[in-house]
Amino acid sequence: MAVLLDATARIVAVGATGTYGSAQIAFMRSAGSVVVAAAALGRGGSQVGGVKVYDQVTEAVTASDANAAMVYTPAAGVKQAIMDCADAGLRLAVVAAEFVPVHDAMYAVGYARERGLCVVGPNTAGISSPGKAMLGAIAPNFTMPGHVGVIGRSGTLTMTIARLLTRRGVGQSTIVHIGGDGVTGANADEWLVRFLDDPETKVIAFVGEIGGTMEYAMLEAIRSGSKPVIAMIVGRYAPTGKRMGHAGALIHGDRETASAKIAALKRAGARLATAPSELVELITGALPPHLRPQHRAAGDAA
Amino acid sequence: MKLIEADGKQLLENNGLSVPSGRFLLRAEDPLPVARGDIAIKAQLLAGGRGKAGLVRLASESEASFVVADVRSAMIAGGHAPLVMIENRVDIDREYFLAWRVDAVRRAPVLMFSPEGGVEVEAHPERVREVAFDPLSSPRLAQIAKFLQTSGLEGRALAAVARFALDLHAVMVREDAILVEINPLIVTPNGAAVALDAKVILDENASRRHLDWRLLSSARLQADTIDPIERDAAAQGITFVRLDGEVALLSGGAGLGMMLVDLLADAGHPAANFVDVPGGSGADIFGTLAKLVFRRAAEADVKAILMFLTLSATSLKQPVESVLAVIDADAPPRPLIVGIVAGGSAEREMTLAEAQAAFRARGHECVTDLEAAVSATVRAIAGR
Repeated sequence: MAVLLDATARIVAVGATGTYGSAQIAFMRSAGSVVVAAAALGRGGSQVGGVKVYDQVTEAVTASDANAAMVYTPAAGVKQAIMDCADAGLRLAVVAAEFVPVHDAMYAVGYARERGLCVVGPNTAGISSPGKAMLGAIAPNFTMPGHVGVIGRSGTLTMTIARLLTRRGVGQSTIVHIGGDGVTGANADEWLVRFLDDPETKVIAFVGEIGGTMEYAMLEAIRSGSKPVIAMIVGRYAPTGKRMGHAGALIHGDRETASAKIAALKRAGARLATAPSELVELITGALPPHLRPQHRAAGDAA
Repeated sequence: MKLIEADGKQLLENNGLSVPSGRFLLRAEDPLPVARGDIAIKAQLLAGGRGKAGLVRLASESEASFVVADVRSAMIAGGHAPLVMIENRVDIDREYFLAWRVDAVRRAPVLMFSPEGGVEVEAHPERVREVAFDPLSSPRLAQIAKFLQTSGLEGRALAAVARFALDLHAVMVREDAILVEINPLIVTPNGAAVALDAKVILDENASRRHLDWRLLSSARLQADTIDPIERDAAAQGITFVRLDGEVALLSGGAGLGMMLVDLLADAGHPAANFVDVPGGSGADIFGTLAKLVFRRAAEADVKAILMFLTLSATSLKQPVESVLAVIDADAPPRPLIVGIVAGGSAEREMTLAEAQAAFRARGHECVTDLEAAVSATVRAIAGR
């Protein structure tokens, strides 16, 4: 088991074209992913990364029996691409593009959810179930199979935590970067519930940031106490009213500050870290003793 | 992008919603147009709290030029450009608060209403009620009216406010706004709904399909008030946020950047800036970024520069080479600590060891860990 993504994933690369598309497909394959087709309007009949390109997502899915999509379509085309994936009956679509207009994301994600398509992103580094499959840009040598579920708001930071866990000898069940935009396919609380339901996941790490209020929806599930939740919220020194890179990372009010979120998560029973090394130690300590690494791994896995 | 009231009202008017007539936007040198009775004089700022600061005034025809001069000098005293809007006064029967916003957590448009408008909203935030609508279809007038009825509206005011709210939703979607707030929305004695104020925030991610936005007075005002490095960065698609600390940051990734800002502050040497580059930018973006960060680093309050990049699916060759080109053309103004983490296919054209050797050959310390990077920076500031 893993969360949403496992070795049965058959991937259609949507909007993958040229050398960039080929490189991305090769990268996903290096993590064990099975890429079976590509879809790009106007490129039907050509090849990318060793797979056939179809004009339409539905054509690609019918021909290849794909069940998941990695979407490389630029921001302006994301709304249609997500709807295409939903219409093709896919269950998982990972959307890389940054700068998707919020009304496009809101509509397309709503459309997808009504049809049972789970969207990761937009503006995501992807999702990885180490040893099984990876959609996106999470380096396989940053990860190893195991029992920690990682939910992150930031791509680079999510990868950093995975890398440090791997170096510590602590494997991961699934790592997901939910996306840096305000509107994403699923909120952190929905991911939390998926990880709580996953028998392979024993400890859940959440790396959040300032802006928005989605952390508050996680509190009830954290209070259930069924699995330890270790969290870190970045942006503790971010000024109010400044957009810190991500579209979602902007403090509008007191509830959206790091300190308010940290206090609420603590009250609900999560353990909080302020630095990556501390986060990794708290996670390791929360694992059942037989799943903890026996020796401190030497050197840097990266 | 936040809009000043005058731009927000123009947007409403363009979409057929009622706003007070006789609106003029006056720059510092503009004379008062020929007055036609009582007018409202309102400072045009991106900041709120105008009413309390005495920047929203009413005047009769004879007082108008005196009051405009008064508002202008108050704005100049407050460090603002003296941009003033005038418009005709409207007879008010009732005042309400009405807004639509994009609720990211619910992924839905949310309608907000309070039967108490104007400054009363801030005094009684609990009276603001809200309801989420289906993001996949336009709201129906009947749904909106039902919500307003449960908030105590009836009669002609109910009809006028409900129709206004329906049209305002269309404006939000059509204009790619994430907030359209009308406070107060007034109903006149003869039953018409008129937006007496307008607070609009546009979604900058949609700016490519609204090329007219760059012509708005709000865009010019924003460009004039922003920090010069922040403005030059924005022109290149880079987010640069000036901070008060002493370590200039050259990093990629928003979360990683915020983490570094936090760790540096915890270590007692706060960051002098935050930066983020959009994914999939051209190869040269890191060179551009380095130039901007070095500009900040050259300022007197900065003591060190911390570069930290995590690369996975993209090759590290181009970012490293473009930063090196900047360094070779002009030595970094402060000690530079270089952190690079490379995974996946990042080393396909250049290995991490090669990249580090290139920086070390130029006398810059290299690390591969966030916290090690912070300690190395602290040591560099202390002079070892």
